[in-house]
Amino acid sequence: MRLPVAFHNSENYGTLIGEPVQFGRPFFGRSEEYESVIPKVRKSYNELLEKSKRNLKEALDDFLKEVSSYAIVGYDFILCLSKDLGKEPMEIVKVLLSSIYIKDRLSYIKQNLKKKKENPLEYAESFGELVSLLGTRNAYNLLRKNGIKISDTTLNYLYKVSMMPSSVKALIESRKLLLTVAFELPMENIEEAAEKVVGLSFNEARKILKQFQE
Amino acid sequence: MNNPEEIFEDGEEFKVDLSHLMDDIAQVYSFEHWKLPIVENVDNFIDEKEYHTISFYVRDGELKIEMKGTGISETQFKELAKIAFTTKISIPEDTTLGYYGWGLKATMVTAETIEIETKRKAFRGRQIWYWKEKCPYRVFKSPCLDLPEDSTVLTYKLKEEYKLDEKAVIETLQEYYPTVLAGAPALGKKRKFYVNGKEVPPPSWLDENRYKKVEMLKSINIKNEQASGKVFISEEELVDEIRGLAVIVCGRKMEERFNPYPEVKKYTGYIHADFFAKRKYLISDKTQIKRRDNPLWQDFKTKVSLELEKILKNAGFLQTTTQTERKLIQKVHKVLTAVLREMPELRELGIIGPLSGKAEIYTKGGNSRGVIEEAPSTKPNTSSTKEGERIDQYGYGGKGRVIKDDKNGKESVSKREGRIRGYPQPIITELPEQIEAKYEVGKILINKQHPLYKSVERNEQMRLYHVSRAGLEAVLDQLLKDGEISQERYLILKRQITYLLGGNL
Repeated sequence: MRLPVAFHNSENYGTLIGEPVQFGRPFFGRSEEYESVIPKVRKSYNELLEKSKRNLKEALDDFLKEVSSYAIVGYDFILCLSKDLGKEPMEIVKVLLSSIYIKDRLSYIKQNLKKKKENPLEYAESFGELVSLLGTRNAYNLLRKNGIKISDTTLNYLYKVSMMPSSVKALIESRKLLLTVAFELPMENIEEAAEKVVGLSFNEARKILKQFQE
Repeated sequence: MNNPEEIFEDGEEFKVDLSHLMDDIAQVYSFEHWKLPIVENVDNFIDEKEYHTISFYVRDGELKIEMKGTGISETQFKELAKIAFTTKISIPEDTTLGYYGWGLKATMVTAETIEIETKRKAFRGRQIWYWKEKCPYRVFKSPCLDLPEDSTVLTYKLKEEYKLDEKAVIETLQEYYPTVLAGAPALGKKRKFYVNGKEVPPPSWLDENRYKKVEMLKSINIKNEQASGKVFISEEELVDEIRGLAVIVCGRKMEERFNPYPEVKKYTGYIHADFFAKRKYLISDKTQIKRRDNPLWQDFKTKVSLELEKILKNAGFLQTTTQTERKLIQKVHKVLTAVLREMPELRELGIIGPLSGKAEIYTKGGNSRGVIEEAPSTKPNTSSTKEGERIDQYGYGGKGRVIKDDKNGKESVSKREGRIRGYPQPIITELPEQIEAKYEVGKILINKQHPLYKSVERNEQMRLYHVSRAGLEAVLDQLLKDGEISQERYLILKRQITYLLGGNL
């Protein structure tokens, strides 16, 4: 399971890496989960800055391979990196798109387009990561270009899942909550709704989730 | 002529610097080298299912290890000294601890000599390993021990720096094989352990009478493999070393305990997960589980955490998100929306309303007047204007060209309803200790080093309140600093935030 991680280029403190929060929503993860993730991302980011002096593509590849098992980084990461390296963000995006990491993710997605996913959460997070890094439209185009036909709506749903609180993600990963049911969860009281529909089929869950919308 | 052996028939085999290789093998181990003869021989003992009893005798710098139940076959005995030779991976799905083929050889670094004698059915063998100019040598000798049943006996003449005593052997066994000592089967078989004739007791942390409650972790399905264990709930805080779950693979405890809830200091336990060895997911010295590119580990982590969470919640150690707390979160959300909407000053900072909330969108062309200027911007959901130029609205984020209404403006603009991203993004991060929170272009930095944050970080409800209050106040501080609001207005708004938030808690 991966937690979203925020980057910010501060005028006074340089690049800051931290836990993103959405006002009025449950946290993405518990504070102790972030306590283990943030130092690792920070360490890898420092290594990335160092290694990128020799080869940016390889450094970016190593960084993403490392952090992708526990974090999802977004466009703010690209902005910070571009500032730290004195390069244009688009230059970073181009290198990123040519990286082995992105190729691997795309091939993973292709392999898992089938109905029975190896790991439904990892599948959703792979899409979520592309949307976070590139934005919905660019991610959509990249996927289409690589022969992955997916609708805008499904892409947004998968992104939504990748940004759900860790307690809900754990239910999806352990297959206690169907991915298609997770698509329908209301963001306002997501944890409560998720608990109510654990183990239910899509049709059964939908009936219950309707009550949350009323 | 496709066969390379025919093309390069004059070639020669790679050579090995044996002395260097022995040093390298020893370096693989993360634990103290004096433990090597104990650990590696117990692993071999466990891997052979016919062995049932292992006895250690320690005296005057000599360590004798006697394993009963089977012996080494003649073929294996001849190949025993061959580095990277192992008999344990003949069947790919076979579960064993040993598969590198250097375990027994590695124990040589601790010894002046090792005598190995075995009896298996009609076969009797004895060989002695010794050093010659930093390289290990072996010689076959006639058997001399009286071995009434199939068994293997290893006698180590330990080097001065690796000499050990009875206590060290017992503690090492208790450290690495806790549940096997308590009678749990390793690879399907119960084993007996003796040191100087006395049976080795399990470590005290496994004594169930010490705990308030014992909970079972029953057959957790990890990608069609099973993991089972026990969780012990204590009344007292436990010492660091035994907190969390000991992960046991084929009887051997892994170096690091699995502890997804480090804040709970009153639980310990163990979980058996032999499949990590079966699928070859142990790292080099077999005290660690490979975590990267290991789908089993990911699944294990999630599922065991979930089971553990239930147990710890039942024990009252973990906070559960109650219905009331959930309602509170929704209330706070509504309050924030209200607070932000009621403060037109916040608009100057691009803080307009709820995330993806409805907002007035200005586009080029129309009957009203407006301006286009540089300001903190956000993108509306309307993708382009009639002129084909996309113009941002006031919002959070970096500075950009934004459009807004202005009676005296030179641009003609029109107003419509759309959706924009409203809130600035709070980030919990590390700042100098004295700063509670700080606003910086579209981001609210909440300082996790601040004492107030530290005091609430383990309580999700308090953490939410803190982040909301400190975050909003940071925005106000920035407005005051920029001269966007007066001191008086600042105080009113600050009170309003505290009142609205506090009233809902």
